[in-house]
Amino acid sequence: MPRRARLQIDLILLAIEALDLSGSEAILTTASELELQDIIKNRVNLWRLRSANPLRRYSQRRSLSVVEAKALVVIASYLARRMTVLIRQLLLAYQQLSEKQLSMEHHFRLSDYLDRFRKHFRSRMNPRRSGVIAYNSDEKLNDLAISLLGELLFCTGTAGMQRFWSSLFDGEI
Amino acid sequence: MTIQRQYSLPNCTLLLEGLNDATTGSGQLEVRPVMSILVNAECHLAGSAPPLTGGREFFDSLVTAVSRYAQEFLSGVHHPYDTQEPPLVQLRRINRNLHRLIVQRRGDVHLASNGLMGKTGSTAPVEIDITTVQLFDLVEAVDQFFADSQTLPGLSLQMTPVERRYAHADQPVLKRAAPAAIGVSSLAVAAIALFFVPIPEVQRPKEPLPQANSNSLSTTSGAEGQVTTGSGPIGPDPLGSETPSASPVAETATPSPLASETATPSPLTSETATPSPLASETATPSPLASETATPSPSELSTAPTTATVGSEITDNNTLRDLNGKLQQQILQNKEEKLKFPRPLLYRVAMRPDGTIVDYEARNQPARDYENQTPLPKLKSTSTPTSSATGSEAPLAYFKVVFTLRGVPQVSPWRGYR
Repeated sequence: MPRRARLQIDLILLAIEALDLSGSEAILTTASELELQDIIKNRVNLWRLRSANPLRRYSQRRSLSVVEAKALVVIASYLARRMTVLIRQLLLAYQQLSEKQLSMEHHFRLSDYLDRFRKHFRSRMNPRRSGVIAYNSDEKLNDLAISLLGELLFCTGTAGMQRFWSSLFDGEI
Repeated sequence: MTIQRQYSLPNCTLLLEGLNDATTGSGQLEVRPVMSILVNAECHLAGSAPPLTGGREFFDSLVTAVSRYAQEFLSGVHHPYDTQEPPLVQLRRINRNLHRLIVQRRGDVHLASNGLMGKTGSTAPVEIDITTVQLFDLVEAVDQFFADSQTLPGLSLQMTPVERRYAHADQPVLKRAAPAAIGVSSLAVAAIALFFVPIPEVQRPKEPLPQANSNSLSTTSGAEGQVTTGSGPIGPDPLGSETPSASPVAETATPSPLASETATPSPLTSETATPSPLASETATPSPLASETATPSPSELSTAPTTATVGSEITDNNTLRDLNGKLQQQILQNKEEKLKFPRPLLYRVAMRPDGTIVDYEARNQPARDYENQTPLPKLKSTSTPTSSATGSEAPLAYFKVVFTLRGVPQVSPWRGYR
């Protein structure tokens, strides 16, 4: 899997975890629901797969196999679809707040998501990487979180999974 | 009877009107007949009152543009258009949350002519700004159409990732190439700079100066330098057997002062030098001999020649033997505990029968404390003080070092071969 793909998959899963408190557990339960236990065996295995992301602190020097990546994409789309309403709400809230030029604090759920995303990102990503240094301020991380939210929205569509999968390879072939 | 298909999303509604291609149909009345011919397509976007309407050409362009733009939104890599002229429908990103839908007024695009959309005669393209959520609804409507196999089955979702050449690196190529360019150019500059550094000259080891100088010294009556009794006349003796061919070497010797001044260090360095001293000795044996107090350089000049000359003993066994004898002699004749502020270095010449022919001090402390060592006593009195016509037996040279605590360390001058 190309480098950008590994990064993108991990970030999407990160956004899912930030959206819902039970996000991390949900990934594992979804894996068993969709009968993907052979690929995503357990928590540690999941962590190792996600650590294929080169920006992680303990980045494993491994690449994601196509099957593994597909499994993660399937899980991500499935979970995103379950949270469609929430995702739409947050995006609309963001839109309204930015139009009125108000801070994100005015919407509890949105600021909650942004806080959790920032916290997860900072604790998991290697701060020495230039890709991570690019997001060294709260504002930049918020922007990243919102753009990931938009991508999650697209994952909820009828052809969302296919679109997301195809977009992972853009510019890499 | 026209078939109508509608795909409704909160922010976008896609309305299609078309006909069934009766010739291919089975004739039966299907619940949901296949709409194979499109007559009219309407795209209602929430927020912009009049819908975008057009025929097949418009609809084709719309779905292609929307699909492409959705991929672009997801990956951030721009998907280029194949055609030269701007397509009928295209989407462009304004900022993170705003996207612009641009529809050209040509082809089978017909827009409702009312004040909101502008004058009917205007040829400027229609531009509608939509938010991300609205964009998603539009994409979803198009995807639902694609998924509908009963509507325009020829049109289906086709997605291929964009080739690498369309992807832009995070940093511009110039910035990425800068470090490499700096590295290469600095290497080139360093190479040029070092090119001008002169190659160090290899200096052949200088001829042992003292040896050569001993000749000239004899002429200058040995002003400075070490004065060791009897060392001068002794020196030439073993060298009496020297072949005359060695003499020219002496001629090229540097003047005496050098020899005497550097008496101590040069002998050490001259160890590795080809020996001229021997030659010099033979060249002027008589002047040397006449000197009663020739400076030690004459001693220094001795012996560096190869063993074949015969003035020095190099046989390991003999050396070992004589080494032991010398050590014994020194220890036996040593006075009470000696103490020196600095180690003393002497070179002692021994005959094969174990008698000490001569010795010379090699460093200043050695000269100063000579009388405290047993060496003066050990020096054989039978050694002739006359010229090189004396005994021609080969001599063995030993290095005797008296340590700070007066312990004598004896070893062959040139080590064991």
